[in-house]
Amino acid sequence: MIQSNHTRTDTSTPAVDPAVVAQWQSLVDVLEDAARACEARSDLVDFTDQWIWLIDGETVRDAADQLRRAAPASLPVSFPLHIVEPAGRTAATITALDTDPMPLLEQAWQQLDQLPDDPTNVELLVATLTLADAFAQVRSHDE
Amino acid sequence: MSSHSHLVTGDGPFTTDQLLVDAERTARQLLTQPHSVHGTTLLAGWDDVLAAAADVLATQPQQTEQTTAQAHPAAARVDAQAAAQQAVELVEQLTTEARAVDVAQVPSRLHPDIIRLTHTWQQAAAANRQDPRQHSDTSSQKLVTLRIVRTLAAVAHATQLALGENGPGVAGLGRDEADGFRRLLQRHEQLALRSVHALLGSTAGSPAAPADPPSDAPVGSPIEQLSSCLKQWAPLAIAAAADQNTSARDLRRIAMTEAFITAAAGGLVVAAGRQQQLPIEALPHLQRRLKTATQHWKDTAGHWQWIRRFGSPEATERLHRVSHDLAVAVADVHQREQPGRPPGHTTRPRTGPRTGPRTGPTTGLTTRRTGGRTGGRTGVPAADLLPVLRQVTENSVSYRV
Repeated sequence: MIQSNHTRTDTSTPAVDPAVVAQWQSLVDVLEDAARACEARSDLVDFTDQWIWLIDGETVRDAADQLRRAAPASLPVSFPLHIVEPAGRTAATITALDTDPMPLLEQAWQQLDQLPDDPTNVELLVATLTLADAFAQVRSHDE
Repeated sequence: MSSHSHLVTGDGPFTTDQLLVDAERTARQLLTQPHSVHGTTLLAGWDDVLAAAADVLATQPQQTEQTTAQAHPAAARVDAQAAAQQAVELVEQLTTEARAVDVAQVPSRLHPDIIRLTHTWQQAAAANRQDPRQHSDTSSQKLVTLRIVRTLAAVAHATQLALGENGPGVAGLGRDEADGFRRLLQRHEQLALRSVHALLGSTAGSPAAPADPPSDAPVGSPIEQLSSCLKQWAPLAIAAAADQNTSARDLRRIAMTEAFITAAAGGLVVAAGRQQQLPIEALPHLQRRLKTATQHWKDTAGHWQWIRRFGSPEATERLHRVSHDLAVAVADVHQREQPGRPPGHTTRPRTGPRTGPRTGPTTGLTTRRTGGRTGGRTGVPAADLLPVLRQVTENSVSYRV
């Protein structure tokens, strides 16, 4: 993975265990993949139905953004190398077309369950509910 | 610190903390279950869940008085007592509202996870009574209160998701009845989240505050709401796109939002043709051009995904919120304008994408989604689609009607 947009680090934030940050990063990366898979599905349906998968992709990305807010450290948006390398975009599109978003969302949920329990992290609770929305929404279209 | 997946296993006895964590885990499990079969089984247990929550909370203030009087500063004691009292009042309010609409009378068996959760909370209450010293420190008492309210929010969310489905889970209810209950559970979720914020001392408001929509919330029919959202979106998107400090993530979101509103306009073109508001011969041409515009925006979004902007600010909450308000409005209009579609074929987002914290300015989103409805899902109001179509397409810089 390489980092993209957000490379800022907040120096006022107390040091966080890198292993924990990696856990969060992995989770949001899986959600970004799921969002891309949803958006790729919009190419496989009628034009008038495209918006459904596009909105699904936004909802999944919404959950990822919500998790970034809840995270103990600033998390960058990461893209897999196969997207960024030369000719990567075509490869990425093909990969996303072949990817079912549901298993990715299930994987994300499992990873969410593995995050350290912190009852005072209300943003994480909100992110959990947002991910549940995305889960239900994508499943209803995937069936 | 344990993870959420920590299980309470073995024969016990368990501490109150273990039991409350287990109850919260059970509620979280409900969030990902296939909701289409669970609507009434969850709803019918809501009253029991609230009663069990009240039972656990009832043990808290007594402990505070008996065990912490000398060990903790007065301010901390008052804080913990106030938190417990606030949660008690919240649960009383939710119970009153649930009983007013006879939630417990919904004819259904109870969901096994609801039974497990209520039993777990009853055990926790019993454990509290047996050993009041378990939560003798004020921070621990506050965490107990927090866990209970968080669990309520999760159960309310799972229930309202299930009630939004069209499957056998709501077969025993009329559509309007299911919508009414869903609205109630949405409200209860919002109140619980407000309470969590208040317990943590954030500025999100108290549980007693009404969950009113923000002042700029669009009102009226779905088509009016869409029109209002488009009016908010267009100047914001243009100004943000022209600003060199706008982050790549925001730019990508703008392009993605434009892609789905032009794609959605394709659906509206079909509806307008069906209602003879557009000449039939114009439809293929409009469809083609909208499809091209959608593809261009998707390509643009893809390009922005690749761009790296050093030092650019974080994605902005406002853009995020307005974008999702628009998404919800698009979904509502399509639901109205395409009545011939079989259920589940083009299912709209049922609870709506949400933005930002669920309290504060975004609290009204779900309120608007249901509050704006003026009838059942089968009625198609006479809607003049052309002005909205024009607005939709004018938002796209690459396309004009």
